[in-house]
Amino acid sequence: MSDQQIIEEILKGNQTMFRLLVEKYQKMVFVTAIGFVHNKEDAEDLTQEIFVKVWESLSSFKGDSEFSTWLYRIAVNSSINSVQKKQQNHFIELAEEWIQSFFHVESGEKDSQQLLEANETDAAIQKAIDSLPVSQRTAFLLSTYDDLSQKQIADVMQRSEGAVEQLLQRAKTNLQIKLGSRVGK
Amino acid sequence: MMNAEKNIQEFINREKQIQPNPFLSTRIMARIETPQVETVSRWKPVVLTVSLLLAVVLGIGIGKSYRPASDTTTGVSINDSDIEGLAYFNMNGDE
Repeated sequence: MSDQQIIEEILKGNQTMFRLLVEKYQKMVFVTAIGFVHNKEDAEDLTQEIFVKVWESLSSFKGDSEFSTWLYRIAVNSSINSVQKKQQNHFIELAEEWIQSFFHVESGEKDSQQLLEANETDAAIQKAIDSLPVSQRTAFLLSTYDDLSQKQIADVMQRSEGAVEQLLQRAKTNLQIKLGSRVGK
Repeated sequence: MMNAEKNIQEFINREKQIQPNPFLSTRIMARIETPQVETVSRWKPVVLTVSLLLAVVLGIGIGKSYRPASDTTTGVSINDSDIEGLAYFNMNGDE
C-alpha cells in the first residue's frame, strides 16, 4: 500500500491506518530529531510532537511532493522550533549537563580522565554543530544523519541543489574551523 | 583536520545508533486518539482573557465606589487646664 493510499484511507476516517505511517517513518523522524536535540528522551518527545502535527495537518497534504519530503519539512521546522525553545531554558540545561558530567566522572567504569576527554570532545562537536547557522545546520544534518542526497535536501529545504551544495560546503568549513584546534589534534 | 572529520563522523554514527523506545508508535497513537489536551489549551487563552478583563472591570468598579471620608465630624477642643485647674487639687480653706 502506497503512502498516498494510506493517507486517503486516513482522510476517509480510518484513523488506525495512521499507525502504518508512524511505524514506517518513526525511525527516520527520530534520527532527524536526535540530530537537533542530541538526547534520546527529547528526540522521542519531538518525534511524538511531529507526528501529532502531521496528523493535524494531513488534510493539507496535496501530494505535490513525496510524503517523506513533506514529513521531513515538518520534522525540520519542529526541531528548529524545539531547539529555540530549549535555548530559552539554557540555565536549567547547563545545570543538568553539570550533574550528568559529575556522575559520569564519578562512575569509575572507565578511566575517568579518558572519559572526561571523550565527553569534552563530544560536547565540543555537539556545540559546533548547534552553533552553525540554521540553514547550514539543517543541510548538514539531513546529509549526515538522514543520508539524504543533495537533490532530496534541496526538495526538503525548497532551495536549488547548488544552494544546498554551498550550504554543505560552508557547514563543513565552519565545523573544521570551530573544531580544528580542539579535536583535530 | 582529518582527525576532526573522523571525530565528527564517529559522533554522528554513535547518535544514529540510538534506538527509540519500541513503544513509541503506541505512545504516538495514544496521544492522537486522546486529543483532550488540545481542547484545554484552546480554552486556556479565553479563560485567561476573561479573567483579566473581569479583574480590570472589578478594579475600576471598586476604584469608582470609593468615597473619601467627609470632614463633618465635630472636633472637640478641650483645654485640660480649664477643666482641672490646679486650684482644684489645692483645695484648702482659702477658696
